Amino acid sequence: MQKVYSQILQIAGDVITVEAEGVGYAEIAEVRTRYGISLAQVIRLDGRRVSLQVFAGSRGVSTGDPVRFFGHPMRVATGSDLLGRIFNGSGQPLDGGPALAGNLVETAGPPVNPVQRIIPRRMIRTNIPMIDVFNSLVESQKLPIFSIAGEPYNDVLARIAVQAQVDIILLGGMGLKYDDYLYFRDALEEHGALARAIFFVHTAADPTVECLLVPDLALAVAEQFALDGKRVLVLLSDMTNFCDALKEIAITMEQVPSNRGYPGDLYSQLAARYEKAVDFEAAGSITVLAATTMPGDDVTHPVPDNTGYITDGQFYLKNRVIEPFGSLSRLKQQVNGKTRDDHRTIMDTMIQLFASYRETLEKQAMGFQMSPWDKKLLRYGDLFEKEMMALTVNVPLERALDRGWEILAESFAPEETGIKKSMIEKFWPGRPKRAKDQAH
Amino acid sequence: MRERSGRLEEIPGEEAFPAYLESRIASFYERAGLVQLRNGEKGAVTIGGAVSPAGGNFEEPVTQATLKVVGAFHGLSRARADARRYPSVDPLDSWSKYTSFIEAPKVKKGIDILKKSRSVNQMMKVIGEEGTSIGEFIDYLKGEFFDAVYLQQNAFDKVDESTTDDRQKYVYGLMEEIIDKPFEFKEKDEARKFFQELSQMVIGWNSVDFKSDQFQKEEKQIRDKISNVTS
Repeated sequence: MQKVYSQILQIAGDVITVEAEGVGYAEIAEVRTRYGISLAQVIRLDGRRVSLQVFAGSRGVSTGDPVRFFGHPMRVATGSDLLGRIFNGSGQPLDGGPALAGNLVETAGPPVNPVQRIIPRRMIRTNIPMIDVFNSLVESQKLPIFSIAGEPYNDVLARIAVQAQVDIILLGGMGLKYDDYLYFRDALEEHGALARAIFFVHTAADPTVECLLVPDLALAVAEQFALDGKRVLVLLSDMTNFCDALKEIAITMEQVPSNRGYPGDLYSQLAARYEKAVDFEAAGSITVLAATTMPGDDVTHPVPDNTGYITDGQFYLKNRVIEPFGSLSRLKQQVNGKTRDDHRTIMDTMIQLFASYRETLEKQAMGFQMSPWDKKLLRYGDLFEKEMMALTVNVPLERALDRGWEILAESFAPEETGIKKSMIEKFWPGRPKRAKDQAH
Repeated sequence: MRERSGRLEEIPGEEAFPAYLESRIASFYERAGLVQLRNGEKGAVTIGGAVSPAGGNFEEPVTQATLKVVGAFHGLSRARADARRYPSVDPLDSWSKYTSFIEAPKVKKGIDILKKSRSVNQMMKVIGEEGTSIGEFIDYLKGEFFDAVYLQQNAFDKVDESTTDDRQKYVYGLMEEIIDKPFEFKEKDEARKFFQELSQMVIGWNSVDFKSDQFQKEEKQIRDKISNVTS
């Protein structure tokens, strides 16, 4: 029997408090207001006092409205019926289609037992050289894109979603602008990827509380597909909005704030989501790519800081390119030894030389005379920026590696690169041709 | 600790860490030690702790509390990692209170050339390459060379990924000779070219098995190259 409580003691922000018995933590309830019905979730128990966050926001809730507890935590429908569908942050359809209630699973469950996991070993090709060559993306990796507002991080996410060879794409939008949401939808539709995608979208205008549910819904659905042998890519944008929603709720709940007002358990909250990334021993996988905007481009801000401790590296998106410095894929060595013999050589050498190029740029900016070596570096850096770093470059890994050798050969003599002789002999392109060019 | 302390509603200290952060860290590291057992044998606990400070800022409370109580510090440097100089342990920021298997005066020579090289490099950023004398420029190149061929290792190379102490001592001998040798070049570009070529040779040598025939053959080539330049 489900009891109905009809005396709300307190309404603060989106949190309401009632006195009730036999209620569990994180349980779901329904609040009936004069504007309609909204779901709510238990977020604090204090004796008989139960605090719930109301998904649709507490606006319009009056103290006499009835609250009915369901006796179970948040659930979401899963399975192939969801493909091509778009839902909001509480799992209700946004696309005019029917609501789904098949194969319900509880969200926010524990991450997969490590025993059932395997060491990641398959590369996800994106055709973006800065990722494929320099920081390969690996199946089951959890990787944030650190960026600032205004950078094309959603474009990069959409492009990876369209080009990556995965079975299912899940998009979790948190605080998305409406046009970003439409952009994702159109980009996927244009490339025929919408039929294998599922959206859970919280737009900036929706109630804060629903923002918190988006990653859990997306990841719970992803997990069921992965158990079914599917390779799933989960895109989350933007995790900073998720953290800000956490902050908002924590402060409403009068929790003692930790760093910069964020709740003390920010790390655990983020880890609980990112750790859902998994490669199953005998089934599919979940790969998580998450946009994280850094307020004020400050990597020490609590959100990027805590994120960095959990994830397997990060991509820095700055000035509309993926920065080679700071960007890191901690799993790349699991895969880049198996692609082509020269992958690691190109990966290290090109970045070493690019670092020297940046130093030369500084020297140039100070107005110093450029030595012949500096001039070579400038030529190299220019080629590297245009033909490797630019986001418009869209080539498979092998072609990018070939181009890497060509750029090196166009800029330097072999011994100037510091590459081992054996590699030079095998891969250095067109030596005779070069000698002829110099003769002219 | 920070998370739990917040939950317990304790008064937060620096950067919201609890006030007892330092004493907890100290009591953890102090468990490391060498002990004499009652039967006369010795036992030891060695602790290697990884600390990843927010944004690479070593001024933050956990790093500072750790540095106070440990016996050695290997500081990974963002700049070195960016330049793909691995392992990215900064040779000048890092320190150890323990003695190395290479004698202290020899180690000092290496550190001195690195310091000199770094300061010339800093200077060149202000006054340009043309503002440095050829002697200073050679010191700069020596430091860069020592860094590239001795301090850096290739973790993807079967031989270079792990260097025995015998080999470290042996190769350090050659490094010392090069550091001590007064090279003379007319032009800076000539000097740069020489050290670039020498680096490539020694990097190749690093991935040859220690004391093998090939090792001796390449060592001879390297020594020939060095003696040819000063003649």
